[in-house]
Amino acid sequence: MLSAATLPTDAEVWQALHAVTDPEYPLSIVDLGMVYGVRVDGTVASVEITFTSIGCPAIDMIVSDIREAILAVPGVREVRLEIVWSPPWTKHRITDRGRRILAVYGVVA
Amino acid sequence: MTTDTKPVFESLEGMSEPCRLGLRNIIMACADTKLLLGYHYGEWTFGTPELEAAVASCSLSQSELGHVRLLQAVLKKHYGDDPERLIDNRPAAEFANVAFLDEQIERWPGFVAMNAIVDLAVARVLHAFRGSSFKPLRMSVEKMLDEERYHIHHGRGWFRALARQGEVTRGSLERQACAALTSVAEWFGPADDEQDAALVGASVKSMANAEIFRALLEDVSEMASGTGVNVAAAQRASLDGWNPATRRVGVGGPNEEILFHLRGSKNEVFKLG
Repeated sequence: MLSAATLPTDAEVWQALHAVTDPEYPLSIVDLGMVYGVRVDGTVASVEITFTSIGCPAIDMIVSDIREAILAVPGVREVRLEIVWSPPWTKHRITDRGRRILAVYGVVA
Repeated sequence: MTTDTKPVFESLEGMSEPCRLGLRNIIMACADTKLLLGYHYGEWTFGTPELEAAVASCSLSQSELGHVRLLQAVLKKHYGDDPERLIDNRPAAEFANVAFLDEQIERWPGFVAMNAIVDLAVARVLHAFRGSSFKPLRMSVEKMLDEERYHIHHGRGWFRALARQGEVTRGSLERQACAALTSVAEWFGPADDEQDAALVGASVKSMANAEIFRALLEDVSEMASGTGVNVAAAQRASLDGWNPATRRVGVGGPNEEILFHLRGSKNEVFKLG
């Protein structure tokens, strides 16, 4: 049994999500502003996520990557993922760090 | 101080029967039309007159098919409709798409009429769901409309560009635009549709279909103004016997060749599971 000290935290899940990228961009889904919320309750991690477009062909792939990354966080046994479309994603959700990375690739966001 | 008494529906619970039926029918009609739009846009990816239009067509197809997935998920959750059945195992006569999309779009003016008028008609319906009392749809409609803005710009741009390309092309565009409008008018249905009135009465939709169609006509007339394309010739046929489930007066639906491709019949052997 996990003690309170070894239970996963929101911060650890956010950290894990930094490793998940959208295959169309050289950025993590966190820097793209696609993650709307993270909550860890015991060993269950709940994540609210959106996508840059409704018809994004990589949705299944990204969802699979998210699950894999979060399940690798010590103590997480279950991932509950909800896809939401409100508020709609826009480029304004990209973080400052994300903009700097995109600028390196010549993309002005 | 005012009190907002507008109902909020998290599900179908508490909705009147005409409202429930009307909601299913209009979501199905939008999903089916988008499915056919997605198909035609996809087909035209390799037939456009300009490279930029090919890229746009591919993107339009992708977003329409994404919207289908989203709308069918609402139908699945709240009405128990299986998305796979909706595409793979449904007879053509049960489809509720705008009839203009039933056959192959053979020429570019037909594509432009589809993009500028049929696509806009569905976007206008979605617009009437902004602020809807049916929360599951309200929560996704803004994103769809966000994406629809590009469809509208593309259709409008090509409509006006094509209208300037000489009398023959303009005449062809006019015929296609009138056919699209006639078809859309049938899809919207009669002004006294009970289900549509129930949707507006319950604040599920902000405008009746007759109002939306009038607004669409204004949009199209404005788009055509000064181009020499006369859309006033579009006919409003009798809607006696109109079926709210198929949004048609008679029997119709996409042709077999289109259904064959939509269902991916040729690729059946590659399906997993």
